[in-house]
Amino acid sequence: MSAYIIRRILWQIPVLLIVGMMTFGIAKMTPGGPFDTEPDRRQLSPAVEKILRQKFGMDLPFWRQFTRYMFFDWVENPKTGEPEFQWGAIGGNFGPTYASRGNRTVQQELFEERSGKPSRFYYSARLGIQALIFAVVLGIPMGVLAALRQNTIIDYLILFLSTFFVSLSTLIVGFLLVIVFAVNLKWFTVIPDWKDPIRPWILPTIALGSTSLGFITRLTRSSVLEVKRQDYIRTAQAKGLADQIVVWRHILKNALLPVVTVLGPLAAGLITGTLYTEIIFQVPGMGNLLVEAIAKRDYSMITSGALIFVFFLGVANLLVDMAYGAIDPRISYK
Amino acid sequence: MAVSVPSLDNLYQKPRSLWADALRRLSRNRAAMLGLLVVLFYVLLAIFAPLIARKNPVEQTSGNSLRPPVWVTDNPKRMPNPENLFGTDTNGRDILSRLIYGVRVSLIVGLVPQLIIVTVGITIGLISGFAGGWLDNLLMRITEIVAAFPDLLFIITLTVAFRETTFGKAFNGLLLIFTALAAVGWTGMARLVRGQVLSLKEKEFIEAARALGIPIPTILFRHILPNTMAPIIVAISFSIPGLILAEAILTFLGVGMRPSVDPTNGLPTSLGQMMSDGFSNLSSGPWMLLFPVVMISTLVLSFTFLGDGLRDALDPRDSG
Repeated sequence: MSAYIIRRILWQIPVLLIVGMMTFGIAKMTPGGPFDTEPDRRQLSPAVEKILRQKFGMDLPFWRQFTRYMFFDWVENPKTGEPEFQWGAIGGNFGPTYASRGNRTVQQELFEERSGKPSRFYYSARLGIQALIFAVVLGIPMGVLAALRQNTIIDYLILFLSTFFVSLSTLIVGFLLVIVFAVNLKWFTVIPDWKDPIRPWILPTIALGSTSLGFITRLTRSSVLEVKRQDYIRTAQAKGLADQIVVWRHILKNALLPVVTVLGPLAAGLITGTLYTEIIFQVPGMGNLLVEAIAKRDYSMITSGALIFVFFLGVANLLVDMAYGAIDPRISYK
Repeated sequence: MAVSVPSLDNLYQKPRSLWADALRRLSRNRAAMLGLLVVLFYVLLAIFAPLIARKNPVEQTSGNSLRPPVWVTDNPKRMPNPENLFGTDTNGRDILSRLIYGVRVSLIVGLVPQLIIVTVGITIGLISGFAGGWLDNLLMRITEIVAAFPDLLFIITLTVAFRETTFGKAFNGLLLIFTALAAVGWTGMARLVRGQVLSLKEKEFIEAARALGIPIPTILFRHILPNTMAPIIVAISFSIPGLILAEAILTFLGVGMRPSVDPTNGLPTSLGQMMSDGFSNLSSGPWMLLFPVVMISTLVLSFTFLGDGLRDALDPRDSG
């Protein structure tokens, strides 16, 4: 088990390296830099340009720029002129952003509080966790209910609803929620007030969790149906156990294992889903910032954002693997 | 004692092929048939868009902007124009005509990248599954790395990078979207084909073919490939809605299709573009968002039902 986990962690290293190299390389190939970030296209004085070039290390050869960004480098301190050791992305330093002309770093933008408001990371993480809880807490009972009432109207209704959620993606469900509940019924405001601790979170949580909800419901349903056919369930019923005990102790315990395995892939959807969920519901999180960076062609932010998203995805997958191993003693990792 | 004599006629049944069987099962599936009907309807709309659309989708009429659909008459300040069934957008363009052209782009985005995905996926899957050894290992590692990247982020990075090049501007930016979607989409197909090949190559008929000295390319293309067709078709039908939605998402995020104002352009707008426009005018003209959302929902759901039906029809063992 521990050897397996160590191998999985080690495998993350080349993945992150290649992801970093690809996004960094693509970003370098594209025209533009800290000097012509839209919408501000003023000409810079040569002195300012020199400082900026130095700050971003743009006069270095490509491989040096990459290793500085990814690992570490010795950067000249502008005050003393002495070279100073500086971590790169692996030490949590993603460097300055183009949009701020190098005045703010990526990690400041993402993880620091902004004048009393929580950090962008807080909004995204909270939204993602809420969406996952929403999907699990609602999806499992719905799936069990559908399976126990197979081929009834309840089953068909749940099945249709979950198919609807799975195939339509967060984007469309989000639009539908906005049209119905914010524009038409006016239960929520289109422009959210984030001082309210509950109200603005409701719609984005449902939208972001909808795809996972559909997946979990469908998977739970088919998993329960599968377990229901097993001999040991018939034995349990034959020896006169109450239906509830059979459902809780025998069916659910075995049926929920496959559900845990999909939580990893679902985390991918949740993480990329924040990109447009945060735009639709105007959540001031990381996804929102990243889309803003795309519009501004802020390549330093795009590269780092992609890298951070992939990192969180790897962590999520690892946690799911470990949880799976802990729940099911039959699983042995080699 | 009366013994019923089995009729001999029943013994001589016409041989039924896998495909004829599947077609029969599919035609009995009502949801799939409904899906097929809707898809065909949209395909016809897309092909004959210039004949069906009563207005030019990019023609702007001054004084005719933000008209609601004809049945919405509760606002005396903003009455509908009977010429615009589904209303108009902020530039006075006819929404119904734009929807018809939008479906055209959505269907193209759903289908064209499939050609690349299927070609690359089959090639890599066949080589990897049949060759085995270090080549298999290498190809699967590459596949794993590409698949490890959240696809949307990868597509966004690619489209951001190449948007301003000539390549990125071709066909209103659609060529770049095709390439980016295919660049991440092939991994699932490669894994699927590889898995199929791995199980098929242990089968007796392949062993027989090899024993007969049939050259490997012939074995691959005549014996193995046709047997992987059913799962490939199911996989394609499931990935079409994903591609359609991906275009909508990209365009919504501002890195997708470029809107065209050229009245002769055959691909002037997409459903994603219309949703993006509609979302920014949510309070003044919610119908601008509602119609493309309904259109893309029905299109995507129809493909899903069709895909579900195809899977059940082609693989009767599993109907989960």
